[in-house]
Amino acid sequence: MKILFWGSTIFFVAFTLHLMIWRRPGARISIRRLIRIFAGALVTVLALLWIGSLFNAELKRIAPSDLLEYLQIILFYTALSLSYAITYSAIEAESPSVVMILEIARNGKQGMRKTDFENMMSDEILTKPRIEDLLNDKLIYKDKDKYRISPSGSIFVRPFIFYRSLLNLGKGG
Amino acid sequence: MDYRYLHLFCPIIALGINVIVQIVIFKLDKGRKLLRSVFTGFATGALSAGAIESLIVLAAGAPVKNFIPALVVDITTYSAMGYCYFHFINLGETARRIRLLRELNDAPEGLTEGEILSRYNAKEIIDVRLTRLLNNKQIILRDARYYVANPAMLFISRALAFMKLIILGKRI
Repeated sequence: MKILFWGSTIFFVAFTLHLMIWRRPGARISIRRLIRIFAGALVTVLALLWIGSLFNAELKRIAPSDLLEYLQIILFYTALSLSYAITYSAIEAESPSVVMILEIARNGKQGMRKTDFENMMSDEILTKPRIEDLLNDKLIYKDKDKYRISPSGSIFVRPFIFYRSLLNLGKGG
Repeated sequence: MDYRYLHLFCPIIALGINVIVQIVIFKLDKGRKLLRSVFTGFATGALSAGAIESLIVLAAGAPVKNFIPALVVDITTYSAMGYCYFHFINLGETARRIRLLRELNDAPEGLTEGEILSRYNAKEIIDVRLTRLLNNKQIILRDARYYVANPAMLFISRALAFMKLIILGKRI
């Protein structure tokens, strides 16, 4: 129960902290900052628990009892946090499929024609902002008028290429 | 070995089983249904996690009273890891950023914006998504108009829109 309790508690603390920071006017928000908040919460709470349990008998009773329990909490919490970070990036990037489904639903019995989507979603909305994201994340760089993949971009995309070639899948997208 | 180490490795082993089963099922499936292989892999991994936990109690002599809490932790951890694996597959399948990176990776001499857009553009993005949504029966085409066919997909879309409003304060 300690693993479930502490893993969930630290996740709740990190999530609340991230929400408070994100909703501040003019806050700088990025996935890197989100990951730092979640990693920071884990290290801070576990360090406080470990130090506190050395001096306080009551805390020692409810704190993880050995290294193995700490490792189980870290695994449990990391899996939850990664799941949230992935969901967050999907929310932030605004999936075209989600936008299309919501637009079709908004139109109700009238439905949507293909040309409605083409008028609504241009390269300015769907493609160019993603190129900017890749530049900002330093996964690509601009060399005169050409875009080139950076070493970190190449490392990042390699597992996807490996997996999809293993399954004989196309380029995706 | 301390049986509790098995609790630690249980979700990792279950994830490994998930990945192997998903890849094997997809390769054996003539219809090549990716989503079906993902669900089969995930279910097999979850059953494996349950089996490993049972084995820890039966063979390693772990206290029976710890079975349910340990199972809850392991299944939750495994589910979160399985969700990450599903998103890894999904990113390769649908993410525009991954597709753009692949195009640039295939062109070591680089690409201009025009060249990128000639290989991957809004028209293709819309076409691919409409085909995918139709194939997965999430929308239907009637008299040249698209309608929502699957309330589950609409529910997920609305949930994501709601989360965006709560977390980022923005509407889709």
